[in-house]
Amino acid sequence: MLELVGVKSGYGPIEALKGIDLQVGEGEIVALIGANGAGKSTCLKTIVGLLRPTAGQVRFCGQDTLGLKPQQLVAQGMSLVPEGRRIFGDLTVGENLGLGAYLTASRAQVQLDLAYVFDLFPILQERQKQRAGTLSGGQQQMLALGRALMGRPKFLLLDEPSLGLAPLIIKEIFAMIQRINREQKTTILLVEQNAHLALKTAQRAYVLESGVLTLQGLAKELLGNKEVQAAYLGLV
Amino acid sequence: MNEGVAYFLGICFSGLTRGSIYALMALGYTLVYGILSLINFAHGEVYMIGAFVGLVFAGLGTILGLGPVANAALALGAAIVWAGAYGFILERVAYRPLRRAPRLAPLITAIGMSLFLREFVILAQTSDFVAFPPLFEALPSLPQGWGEFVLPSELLILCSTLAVLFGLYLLVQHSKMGLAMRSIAQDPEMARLLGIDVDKIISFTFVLGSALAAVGAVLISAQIGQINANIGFIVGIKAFTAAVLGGVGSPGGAALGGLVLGLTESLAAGYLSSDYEDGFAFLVLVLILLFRPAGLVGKNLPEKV
Repeated sequence: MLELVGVKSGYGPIEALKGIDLQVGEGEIVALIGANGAGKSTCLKTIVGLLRPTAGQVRFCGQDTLGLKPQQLVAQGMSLVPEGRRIFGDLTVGENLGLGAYLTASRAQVQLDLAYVFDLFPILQERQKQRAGTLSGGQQQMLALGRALMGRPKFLLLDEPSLGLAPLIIKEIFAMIQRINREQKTTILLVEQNAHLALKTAQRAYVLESGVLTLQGLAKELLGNKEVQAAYLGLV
Repeated sequence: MNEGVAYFLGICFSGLTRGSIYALMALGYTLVYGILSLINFAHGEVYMIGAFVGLVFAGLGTILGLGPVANAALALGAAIVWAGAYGFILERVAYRPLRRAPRLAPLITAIGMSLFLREFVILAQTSDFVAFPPLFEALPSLPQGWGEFVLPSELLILCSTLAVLFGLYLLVQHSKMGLAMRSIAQDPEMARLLGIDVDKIISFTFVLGSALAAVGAVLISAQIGQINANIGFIVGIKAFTAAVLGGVGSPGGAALGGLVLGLTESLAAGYLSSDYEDGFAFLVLVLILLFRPAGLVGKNLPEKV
């Protein structure tokens, strides 16, 4: 589904990714873990076309994405739920979801997708007419996820979906992430600071440190890895 | 009818007519500001060009022997298309290349474009006043008594403006395009991540604002009967005042601000002195900036100029 080959990227003279190779296969949940400032968000921004790689190649469904704009990648089935949720606070919950379906031409399809999102997150249906800014943090994260799903993505990128949320809500949201992967066969790249949670959810994982991938493997194995335990899981 | 009442109503109607034009113009400022946080200072010139195009095509229609309704439609249609094209090109040439530049840069190109377009019309056309063809001659006269305080053309302008405002409300609040515009106003990067072609929506907004300006220009020029290359400047400044008065970035506020400003001017001219008409418009601007900088219906302070 997605392949990064020797990708370097960053902001102006600052190189946040120093050449990384990463693959995400169809139907997988892959986690990308690492500390604050390791380059995780830069990696996602480069994949969705907000940043241009300065070297290397990003391939989506076998095609080089260089020069494609974010809206073109969205049209090809990519969808990013950015860090901080970035819902449109002044618009209603319903309007936010409607924007997620911006590229869906068929009204019937939109209704089907909406029904699925409401089935996943019933609270969004109750709050449909409410201003999105008045939702709680957890509900806003559900809205951000729901909005992304309205575009029927083949490939979903999640940036820190657990950030700032209460443990119970996190559990609920991660259960839904796994359900989306199972039911819709959506491929997911999950970026998380909460390494334990990410490794429990994903099948495979990469560890990013200062712009370089230092470890990779099955999520279960990484959970047992001494280095990972010491650095990211708070176990010694 | 009592003479004083008729005088008062007459002033109100002429104020609302003038305010209608400010409202149509202010919407152009506010829609663009809402999306780009940019004051398009060349907007007044697009209005002026709309008036000139209306004049040319109304003259053409007269030569071709079109009826009054067909002629007005031709003038209005041509002005809308032409001004829309100017708005589109203006954004491409003066603002898009500076999308990532410091905020001062597009402000300077806006003023530059304003001066350029005015001088261009002066060179290509004339710096003198030219007579605008009377498009409203064929309007039916009003019922007995109304004629004491309102002209048929004033009512037509007022009703057309209200119809346009209602259409715009439907577009912004209840269409997919309007939803995209509102989402970009809040978070353009997120809008792109949902597949919205932000540049296309920005272009559309400029075309829309310019079309509104052209409607206002043709209507009021036909009412006043003469135009020159400088009419855009003063109307532009007044409409900007109206946009600030209503709360820049808020379409409802712009419409309200335009009508309030037109009424204020008209009342000041009618009861105090017409010499101070413009002075009162700007007095309103100063007072608003002092006491209610977010405008009548605005909620947050504009952070960019």
